[in-house]
Amino acid sequence: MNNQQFVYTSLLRFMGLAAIQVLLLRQFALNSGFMASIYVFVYPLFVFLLPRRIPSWIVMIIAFFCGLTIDIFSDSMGVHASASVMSALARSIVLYYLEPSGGYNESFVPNSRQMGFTQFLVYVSILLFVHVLWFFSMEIFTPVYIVDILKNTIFSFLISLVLILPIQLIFNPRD
Amino acid sequence: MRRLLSLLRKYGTAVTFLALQGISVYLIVMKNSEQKAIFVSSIKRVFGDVHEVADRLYDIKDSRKQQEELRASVEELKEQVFLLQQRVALPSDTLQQDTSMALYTFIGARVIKNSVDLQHNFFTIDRGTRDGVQKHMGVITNDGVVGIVREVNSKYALVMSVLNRSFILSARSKKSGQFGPVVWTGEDERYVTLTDIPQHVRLNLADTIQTSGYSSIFPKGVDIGTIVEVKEDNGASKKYSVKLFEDMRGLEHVYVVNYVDKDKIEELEKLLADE
Repeated sequence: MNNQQFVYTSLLRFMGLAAIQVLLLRQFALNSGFMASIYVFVYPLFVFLLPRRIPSWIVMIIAFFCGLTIDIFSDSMGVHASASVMSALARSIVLYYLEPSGGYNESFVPNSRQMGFTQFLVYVSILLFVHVLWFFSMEIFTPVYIVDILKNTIFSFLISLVLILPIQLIFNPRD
Repeated sequence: MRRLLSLLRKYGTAVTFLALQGISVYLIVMKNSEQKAIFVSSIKRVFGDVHEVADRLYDIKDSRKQQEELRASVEELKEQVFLLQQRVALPSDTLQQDTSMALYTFIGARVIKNSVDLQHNFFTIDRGTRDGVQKHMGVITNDGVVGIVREVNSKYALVMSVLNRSFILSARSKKSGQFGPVVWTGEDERYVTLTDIPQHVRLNLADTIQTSGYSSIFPKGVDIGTIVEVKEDNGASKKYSVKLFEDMRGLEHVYVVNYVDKDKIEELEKLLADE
């Protein structure tokens, strides 16, 4: 797959994830008044699945604009962007520690096929948790409600994870 | 330059991260009202403002009670002062039967709403009929006359301010005893106008103007203000500009004047009207 193709498929993938996020899951977020305010995240998967060869600072810029796009649609200026940049940082740190002794393959993409399911689960869990935790920290914006932040984070994290794993199979990039 | 580039290469990710996170937080704070409020109050807390405000609030809570007590004692003192003034003013040969009875009683009140910028200004006080406030009672402060009660319900009273173009007050010069109506022309919240002073009467600048007591609304000799200039001279009569003693904008504690014998006087006046 050449670069142009890669950009097109990536854009398509992001539009798909963003559509699910903005059109379907926002409704869900509004309707759940149960125990914690649950927000289901699927769009971070786009950043999680970017190929390893993209330098981490570019990943961060991509993540920032992805988050900003979601922000524009959900009227929460900067909150998703901040969380995305945070999980992009977590991504480079986690990838650094998961690096096999021989180093990554040039065409390495952090998905379940190339990493193996267990390692991929660890990778996605850490990133998603950081993303969700930072999202609620920024949304609530005060440590006074730390209990609410944690409660929201845990519930949203679990539901998002359950949703992301099958979606990952659909949006699985080939290379 | 080369060093800068190598630094950027080395710390590029960190710099990008901080920059993007900075932009995000800036957006969050500027575009979301709730986060903005939290941010502002956090900044304030850092500088200790919040503590100061909180302390002041607690002080206010405490001092409310003290104010209430002080107000009660001032009411009592005011009654005594007027009673004594009345007694001193009596000619010594007058046989006074019941000098211990107060002529006026005072009801202390707090101004809860005030206006000075309109042509017909009113203010609201936190005392009503259950506290003894009635229509057409005068309202004064320690400094001077401020208004007349126009409407009253059980808990509150609406007072026509001195700064109302419908307000007319019978006033006199403390020194010379010359009297005339005081009105407000709607121009400046600090000045009222003493009108209808005949040509031949000379009033000096800085003379104190008081209530005349020729009505049952205000006691005699409550201060209003001082003459500052001749405002208008139309040949037949003069108008004087009078600077109010009371700062109407900062009105807070007032006293409603209850003229005890008002009913009896009105009864008499009614007899005359019926004839």
